[in-house]
Amino acid sequence: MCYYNGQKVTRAESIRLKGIEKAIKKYNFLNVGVHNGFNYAPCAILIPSADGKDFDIVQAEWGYVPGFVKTRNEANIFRAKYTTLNFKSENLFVKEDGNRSMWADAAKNRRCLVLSTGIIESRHIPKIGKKGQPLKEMIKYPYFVTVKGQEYFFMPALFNEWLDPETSQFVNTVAIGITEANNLMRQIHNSKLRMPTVLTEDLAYEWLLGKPNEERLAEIARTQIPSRMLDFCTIDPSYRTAGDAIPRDFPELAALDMTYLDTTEELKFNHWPADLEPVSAEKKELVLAGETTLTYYPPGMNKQGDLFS
Amino acid sequence: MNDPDLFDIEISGQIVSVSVHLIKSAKVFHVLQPGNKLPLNITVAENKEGKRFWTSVPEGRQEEAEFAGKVIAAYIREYRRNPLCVTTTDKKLPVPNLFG
Repeated sequence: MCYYNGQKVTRAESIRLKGIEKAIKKYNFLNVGVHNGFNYAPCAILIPSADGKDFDIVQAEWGYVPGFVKTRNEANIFRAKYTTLNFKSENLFVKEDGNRSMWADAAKNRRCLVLSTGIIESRHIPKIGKKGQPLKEMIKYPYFVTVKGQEYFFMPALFNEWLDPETSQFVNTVAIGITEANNLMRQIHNSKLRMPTVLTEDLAYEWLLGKPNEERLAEIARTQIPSRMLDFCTIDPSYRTAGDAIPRDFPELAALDMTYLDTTEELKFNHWPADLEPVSAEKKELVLAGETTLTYYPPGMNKQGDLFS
Repeated sequence: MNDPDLFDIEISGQIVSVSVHLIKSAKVFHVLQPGNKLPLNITVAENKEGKRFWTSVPEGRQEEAEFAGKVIAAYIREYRRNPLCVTTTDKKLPVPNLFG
């Protein structure tokens, strides 16, 4: 007689449940605090379902491996050499030299989304020498960056189903899209001046389930989220081993320039609606109507025109 | 309309996140609870009499599985009963909400 969780089950059902148990042990769910890309560990991605009308959540190793790579060893060497954790959105279809990009095929046929609650990037500050001079050696201060008012957000990504010859199993591998940094991320990720592409819900839908042409896909991939939509804090450098982003202050660290909150940021690929997080100077705008009534015009609502002209 | 893959439910006054995963052809509900509680994985099994029941995978958290399972089932039933409906006056297709 077989039992499962105190219930009498058939032998076949018991075997099935034990099989699920075994698979679950190897399965990585969404609840991983910090994903370190250089571990190439599995993360959850959203891929279109077979009918293309919905999506499925599947696992993928972070670090894209193209089909021509034959062995696991070659795959690791390839990833270390070319750092395929991300793809440059400017090169989605065409490389700088004008040739077809290695991402082009995946961009057409294997687009997916990576779900994230926040990103970690390090700000590089030169160490100061005994005479007060900046040294070449850098101190890295990690920052945890999130999207204001959103528990999680979507990044456009490309995946490839790669056959691991050692296990004879197909493994999904994935790369996320990166774009030119906004004002905030230029200060945080000051070594590269890049940032992950963060999409609005509509753009995430279009990227995953829509049928955009190459030009539109390239435009979506380059989306730059405005700085004022982001929240940030410094975190303990132990995040890689702790697996969690624990806020920590560094008194010696100069504050970031946050004047971007007061002005409209000029970004070439800002596809985020302006009214989601208005410029703070606009928020304070008050218009005196008559002598006693103060009227506040929310962003997106125009001031009333002159009825008599 | 498909069932949602990610949703929140309330268990004992706390909001918990549920994600749905297809593992070895079985639907596994991964329940993320606040605090230091270990995530709970539950699925539907069938007993010897052919009656379906919620079970934790691996074994050992049957009581929690039954409770969470009932709440999840109620959520999905409600979700199916009240499909999101979008009406539009122009010819553009409504954009479905990714989060169900």
